[in-house]
Amino acid sequence: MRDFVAKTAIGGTEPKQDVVGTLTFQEREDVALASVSARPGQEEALKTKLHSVCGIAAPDAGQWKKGETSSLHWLGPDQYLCEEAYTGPLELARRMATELDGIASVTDQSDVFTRIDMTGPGAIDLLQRLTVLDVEQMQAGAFNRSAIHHVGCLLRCNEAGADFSVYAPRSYAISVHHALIEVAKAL
Amino acid sequence: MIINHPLLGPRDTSEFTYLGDASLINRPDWQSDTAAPEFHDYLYLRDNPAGTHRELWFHEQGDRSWLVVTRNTLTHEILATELARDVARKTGRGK
Repeated sequence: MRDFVAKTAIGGTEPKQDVVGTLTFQEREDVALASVSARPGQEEALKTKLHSVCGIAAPDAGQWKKGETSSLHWLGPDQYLCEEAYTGPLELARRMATELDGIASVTDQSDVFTRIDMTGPGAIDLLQRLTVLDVEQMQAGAFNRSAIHHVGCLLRCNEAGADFSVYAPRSYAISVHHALIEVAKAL
Repeated sequence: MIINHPLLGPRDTSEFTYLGDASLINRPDWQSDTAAPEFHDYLYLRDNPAGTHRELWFHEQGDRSWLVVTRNTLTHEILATELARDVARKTGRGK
């Protein structure tokens, strides 16, 4: 049996951190993600159930909400993305699938997206160069899917103008991270 | 061009892809006795109006919803946007 070495999405053995000017970039390997999609006719039942399972109401379009242990993000009509602290492979998705049995389809997204936190003044200038979203208008609680450097990503606003989380497709993590760093250097 | 998404508000047109005439929602019944000519019309016959046109757009780089966009083909002015599933449900389709 070979000794395999676990690597992060960006390719290191530890989550990558970069400080460029006023901006700090932090790769996050400690979160689990699962998408939840209502079965036909179960849209309202899903909202009610999510409230009891996650402790927060399902967010409206273009929004996300943070609870004590879970966060819920609006992905599309009757679709949500749940985020929690990572406890093990597929654990969140399996638990959600059990809780939401018959109401929603649940898919693990932990190995699909990689979260890169971006904090500091200058985040707006950087994002304006990489996405068509009106990032200046994004307030804390805003969550959108759009293209960042032509790659379909999720963008979450934690604090208006200064604290964002980029969810890049895992297979594109190095490219998206590279784009963020290069633009930050050029600001 | 900006498309005013019914759920998400104004979004850049580069996030969307265009499919075609909104009548593509009205797929004929394949079990109908006249299915063959109906599918011929459905597939090949299109109105090509100079003016108001209802068309299907897909929010591919966004929430992946299908929209019915009413657009003036002469001025590119967008007059209305609706979720395609709401349009289909109004005609009795789906649940």
